[in-house]
Amino acid sequence: MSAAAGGISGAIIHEIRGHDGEIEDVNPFQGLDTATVLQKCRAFHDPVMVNKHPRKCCEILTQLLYLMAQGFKLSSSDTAGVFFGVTKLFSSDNLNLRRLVYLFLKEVAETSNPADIIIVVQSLIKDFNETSHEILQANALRVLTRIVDASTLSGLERYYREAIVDSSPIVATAGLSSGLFLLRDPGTTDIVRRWVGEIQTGVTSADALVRFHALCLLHSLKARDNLGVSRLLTAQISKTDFSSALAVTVLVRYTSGLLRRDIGAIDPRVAYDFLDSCTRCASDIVKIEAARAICNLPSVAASDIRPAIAVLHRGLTAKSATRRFASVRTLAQVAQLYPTEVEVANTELEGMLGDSRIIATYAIVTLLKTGSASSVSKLLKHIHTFLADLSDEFKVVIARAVHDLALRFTSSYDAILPFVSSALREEGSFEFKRALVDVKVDLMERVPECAPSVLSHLCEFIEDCEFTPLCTRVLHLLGDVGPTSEHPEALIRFVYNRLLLEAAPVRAAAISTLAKFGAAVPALRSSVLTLLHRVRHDDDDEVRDRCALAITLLSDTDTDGESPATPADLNVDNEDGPAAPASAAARTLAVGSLPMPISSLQKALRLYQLHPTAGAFSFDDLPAVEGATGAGVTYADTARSVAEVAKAEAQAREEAKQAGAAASRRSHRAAGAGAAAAGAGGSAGAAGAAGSDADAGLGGLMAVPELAAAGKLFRTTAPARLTEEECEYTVTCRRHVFESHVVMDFEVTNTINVQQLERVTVQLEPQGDAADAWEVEAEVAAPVARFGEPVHTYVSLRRAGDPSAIKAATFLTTLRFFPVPVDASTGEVQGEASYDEEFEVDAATISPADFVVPRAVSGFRTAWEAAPEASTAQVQLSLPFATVAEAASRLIGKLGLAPCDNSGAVKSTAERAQVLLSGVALGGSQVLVRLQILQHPTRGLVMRAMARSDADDALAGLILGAIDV
Amino acid sequence: MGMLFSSLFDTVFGKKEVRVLILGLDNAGKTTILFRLQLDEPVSTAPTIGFNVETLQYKNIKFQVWDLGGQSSIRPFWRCYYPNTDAVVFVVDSTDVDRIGTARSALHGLLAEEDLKGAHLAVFANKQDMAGALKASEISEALGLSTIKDRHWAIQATSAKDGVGLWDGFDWIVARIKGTTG
Repeated sequence: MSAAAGGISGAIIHEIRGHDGEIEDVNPFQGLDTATVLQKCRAFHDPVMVNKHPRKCCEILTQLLYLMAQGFKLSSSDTAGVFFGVTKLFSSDNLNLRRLVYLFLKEVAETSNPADIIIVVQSLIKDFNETSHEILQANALRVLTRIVDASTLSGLERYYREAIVDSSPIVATAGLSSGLFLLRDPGTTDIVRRWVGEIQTGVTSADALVRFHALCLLHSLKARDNLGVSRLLTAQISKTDFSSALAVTVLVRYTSGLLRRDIGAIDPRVAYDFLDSCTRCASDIVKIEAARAICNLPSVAASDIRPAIAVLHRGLTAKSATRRFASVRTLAQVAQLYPTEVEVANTELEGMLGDSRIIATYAIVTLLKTGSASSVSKLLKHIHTFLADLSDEFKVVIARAVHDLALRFTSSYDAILPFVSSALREEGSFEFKRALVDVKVDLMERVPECAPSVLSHLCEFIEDCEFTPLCTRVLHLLGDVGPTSEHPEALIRFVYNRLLLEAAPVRAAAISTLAKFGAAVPALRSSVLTLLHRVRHDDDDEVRDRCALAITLLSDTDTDGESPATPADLNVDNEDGPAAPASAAARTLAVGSLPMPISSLQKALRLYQLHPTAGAFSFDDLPAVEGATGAGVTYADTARSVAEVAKAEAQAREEAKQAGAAASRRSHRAAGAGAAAAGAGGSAGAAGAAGSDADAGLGGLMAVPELAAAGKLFRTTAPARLTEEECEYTVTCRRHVFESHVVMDFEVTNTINVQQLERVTVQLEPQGDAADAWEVEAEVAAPVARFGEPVHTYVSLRRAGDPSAIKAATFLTTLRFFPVPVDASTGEVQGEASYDEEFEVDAATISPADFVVPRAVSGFRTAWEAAPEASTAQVQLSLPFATVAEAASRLIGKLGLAPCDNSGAVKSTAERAQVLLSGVALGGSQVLVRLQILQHPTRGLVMRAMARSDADDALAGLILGAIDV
Repeated sequence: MGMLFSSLFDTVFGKKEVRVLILGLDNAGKTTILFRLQLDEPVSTAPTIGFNVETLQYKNIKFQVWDLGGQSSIRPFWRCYYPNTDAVVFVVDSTDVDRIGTARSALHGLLAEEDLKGAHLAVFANKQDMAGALKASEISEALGLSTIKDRHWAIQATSAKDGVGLWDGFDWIVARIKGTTG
């Protein structure tokens, strides 16, 4: 329909030229005045004007449409004059005028008052129903579609059904595209679904455009149903004729989409053969779409991708820029995975470097991925000539491609580094600069001989770098690598400059870097101290704190383990993770990294505060906290009930007395700590019951008085779900592992709004061997669980026998409570707890993995050799997983150990893998595990697992018990 | 502008196009009248959502006839179609005794409209074929036609179903139009 408007305005342009001999390319609507046009619209009310001068009416209506396309909206006061004026044009039988009327109505249909627009419905139905002119029929239907809603559509349904099967392609297409439009509303979508029969006939229409629209509509109706789409595509693929390029293109696209969603949804051979036949189709659009689909197939073999590459290869020399662009873009994508297949196009790609910038960029990116070491410097030189002209998006693409290149051809660093250095001097976004810095850092890691030049260049870079995160990153790197470089003193000046010139976060990072230099290079220590003294009075708190800490630590060079360090000394650098020094172990810590992510560290420290251990603090004393969600532990000191605290304290003391005098020193401390913990925990429990504290779990744990003497918290596991999510009561369980106890921490949520649960407990019944190994020592009930508020209840299990032995166990788990009816709307209690109820949930388990924390060792092999051979335990299993990679990641998760020597990342296509794992068990002994996983041609996935431990012999075997597949 | 322009035009080409509105409450038979006039056969119709516009040729006069929906949701829009109207055909369902009062107030409402001041009024007492239909004189009385002093009016007993009386009504309109234009 826009063609109709174009044709008409074209005629007007022609007229203007004819009359006035105007210069060319004048916009006939230039400076059109809205008020004038609205005034002119009054002519529509004059029947003579409408009937005798349709051409004049067309002109006015075109001007009105032009204004609306420029953003003019009819106000309600214009409506009477203009909108109703236009409706009077229905009395004209001039086809062009009527088409413009439809255009206008289509514009206003969705924005105008629904009560007004209804005035044209009769005329539209009549146009569809009684006129024999297909243009009027089609347009009437398209406008009608924009007016109807679900309630009116059902009355008009038959017109749509008729239209879709109409012999005129124009009408049928209008019916089908109306169907697509109606899918925007779920109410009308249900009605469109009833037309599937009619739409099916459209799919087989002789007209290309009808087939295209019918296919689109049918696919949209089935979009969420992979099976339905699969059936549709299979049927279509089998009888495809290639006369409708658009229809085949969407068919290719849908096939590709379906395969990506679910590779098994359609016979891959049929799908591939179809795509392959499409690459030989006469139509360019089909060919390129099919090539793209093949390239995007998940895990496609190199031989299968060749026909697609051939199509794209030929596309590179096409006359049409669009085709060249489409070809080179897909090639750039696929070159990452199949560089050798794409290599054949290198000559053509090089020829495209003079093409338009975007095409040239993709050509270069492709070449960078396929290129050989010898061509690297030539390519980089070429990029350099036009890098400055590229938009930032493409600069980033290039930078990433250079990154890949650098990793592949580390030996070409002497060509790559100068390029990166000069690119870093250019203007560019953060992403671009970061990608370039990545190239440098990665090259330096892999090629030690380029370290001096990289470091000096990075120093130069931060002299003029506007991006704070990049500055702090480079400073951190300098701190790590700089002290061991050849001339550390040369780097210090650049670091010190940051202290004078930059923003606070950069200054803080610079202080940490200087401190690392001072700590690692004794010769520089006094100079560093001098520099630090100069900035002691910085405006920023963080900078000043770090400075004071660094000065203290560096001045205090002769003391060691005895320095009065507390956890508060830990100074965490937010930008780059690793911390500034703490304690006299500062020198080692200054260059080391934290043993756990900062969020876990924060929680672990809070738990430690509630329950500190004797002696100097070290990271080893921290419990391992996993997967804790929410804002962290809040040991709220608000709304603290004095009475509760006192009670908890009394309980804790009594408990401590009972613990006896045998381990007097330790238990005294524990009692004191326990009292504090119980106080804090009690308040947290109170806060949790009040519903103000969603994550009371960890803090509430300490309210269990029996735990005061249980010793150090070793590990807290991630919550495990014991019920379906949609159960009436949902229960999750996390396990807190102590030296001699395991505390099962159940979070119970009542999802029934007409009751609350009182005296909620969980009963655990050990199964099998577990009955001998575990003894329920204490239960802590949750007083009340209101609707939707999670509460915690605990069961403390004491390990019988040897306290350090690790046992797996399963418990029959039952939720018990007293239900009390409440009014759902007010929450008011409507009765008393008179009977108790039981609700069985999935079994709670204790896994051997609960008794280890992941801790990677560097040099696994050395550690393995060092561990006593006698401790070796071994199992061989066949595994129920699909791939080696999946098996590796699942087993790492089950064992709860840390992968070492980068063995945790297994390629998705790998057929064998060795995974090296290590951790520390409860009691401090080291555990090492070697997994060898193999895809056996006949027996499927098989695995041999070996474990060693530096402790007693049993430990290794028990750890392997965690692999319960 | 419209009227002046059109009369100039007519004197040049000697052919008059007459704009007629068919109005009335819903279910009065307006659309059936229109199509009976156009096709000369009874048509079954659905309630009109909006309007129908048709051109009729009668006695060398071209009529452009607008049949506007009578439902209460559409009645407010009638006024948008008043300007340049030569004659109004007001259709009454002669069997709908209960709503004759509503019809009366609708009629007097439109007679008060400025845009319809020069329009002639023909009232069609429709559905005369049905039992219990009021006679034209009774309708005239119920509508209070005798109180209309400012224009020519006529009442015509019609049956759109049988095609009775319709052309007689249009004859009256033709006579009035010819009378005014000389």
